[in-house]
Amino acid sequence: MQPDMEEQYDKIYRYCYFKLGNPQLAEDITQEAFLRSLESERFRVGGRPLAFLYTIARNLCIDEYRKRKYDFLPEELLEQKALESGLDQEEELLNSMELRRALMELTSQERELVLLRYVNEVPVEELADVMGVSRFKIYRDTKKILKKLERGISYGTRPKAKHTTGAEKAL
Amino acid sequence: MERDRKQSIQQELKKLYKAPKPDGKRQFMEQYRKRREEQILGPVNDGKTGDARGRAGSFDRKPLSICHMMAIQCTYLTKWVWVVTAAVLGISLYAGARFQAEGWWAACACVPFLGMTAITAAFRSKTWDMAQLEQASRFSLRSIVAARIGILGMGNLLCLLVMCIWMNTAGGRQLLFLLVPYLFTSFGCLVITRRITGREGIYASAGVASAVSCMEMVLHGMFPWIMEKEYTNWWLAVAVGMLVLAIREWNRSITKMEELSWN
Repeated sequence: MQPDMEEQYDKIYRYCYFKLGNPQLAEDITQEAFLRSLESERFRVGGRPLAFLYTIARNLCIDEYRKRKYDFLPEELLEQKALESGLDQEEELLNSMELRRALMELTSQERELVLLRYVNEVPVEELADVMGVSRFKIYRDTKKILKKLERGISYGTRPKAKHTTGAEKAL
Repeated sequence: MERDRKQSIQQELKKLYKAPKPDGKRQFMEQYRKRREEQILGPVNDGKTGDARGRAGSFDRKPLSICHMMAIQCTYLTKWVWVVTAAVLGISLYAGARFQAEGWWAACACVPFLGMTAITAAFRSKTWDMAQLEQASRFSLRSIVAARIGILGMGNLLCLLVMCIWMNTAGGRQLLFLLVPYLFTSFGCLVITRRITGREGIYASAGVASAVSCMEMVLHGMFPWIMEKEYTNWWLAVAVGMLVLAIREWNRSITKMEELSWN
């Protein structure tokens, strides 16, 4: 089945953006990946179109990364995102900061897996194709990563942030 | 509980991994869609009506040429088909080079296995009761079987011609000596695959191929005179008879598939 291309555009763009940290470059690479996939017969005739698209995008990002020596998933980018993501509530912001810290403790490959599996929601079969490993390895790795993140943010153990009203603040 | 935690982390991750809005998405997607449509259905001004384009587009598939379809089917042939074909060809060529005229009988004894491999590979889906599944795919079962038998038949014929050229001891009659056991085995295997499914069908086909192979050796040992030039017409008659029987059996197998399709 052909995936919804509009939706995939955003997801692949997000993947490229967090790989390279440059929105313009990420968009160029996304478009290049779409055009290259279109030129290939494999994309149209059979196989896994989504995995194919991601593989092209991933390879293009690696090429770009090699050319320009990017730091994969720059820390500042995630930090900036945590602050910019419209988190107005204190607890959410704290959660987000903890999650960011937990993410930073992961390896770059683990972060890539998080981005693809949990953010872009790439199916396990397709993800196994993209990463060139078995489905079981993807299952094992994602489970391990999830545990690490849970440990990092220690859900439920931290007391809830207290929301102060305007009157309380005045006092 | 665990699921809730996972979902909660996923939500947080989505917030964290928020990328800026892409600028050229709308423009690119318009061009992309147009280009994709052109690639699937040909140029926009190709004389097709809008309705036809729409219907074809809903399948999202470009019609394939016969050659392309055969090339795709080539990739579905199991490695054992290629291994057996290479082994038969290798043994025959080696025997021809080593034992001259005597080696010829080794080639004739090996040829039935070529026929068996071709038939069992072509009807593999039927043998393993996967015919319905294959029918639900992009191509009809008949076209898949026809493509496979075409590939294997042409490949085997090429092998037989190579053997004839390599062991040029009996002129054009060699091809007849090779074709008779080949067609005989093919006919036998077609009958078996039509009637018996599963592993038993493959064993029975292997039995037929072995029997024909042994028969060749016995005939050569007991009645060497049948290879004489004056019996060429007999060989030709047997070859034609076997060809007719094999075609008849092939038709019956295909008709059975049509019944399956109709049901």
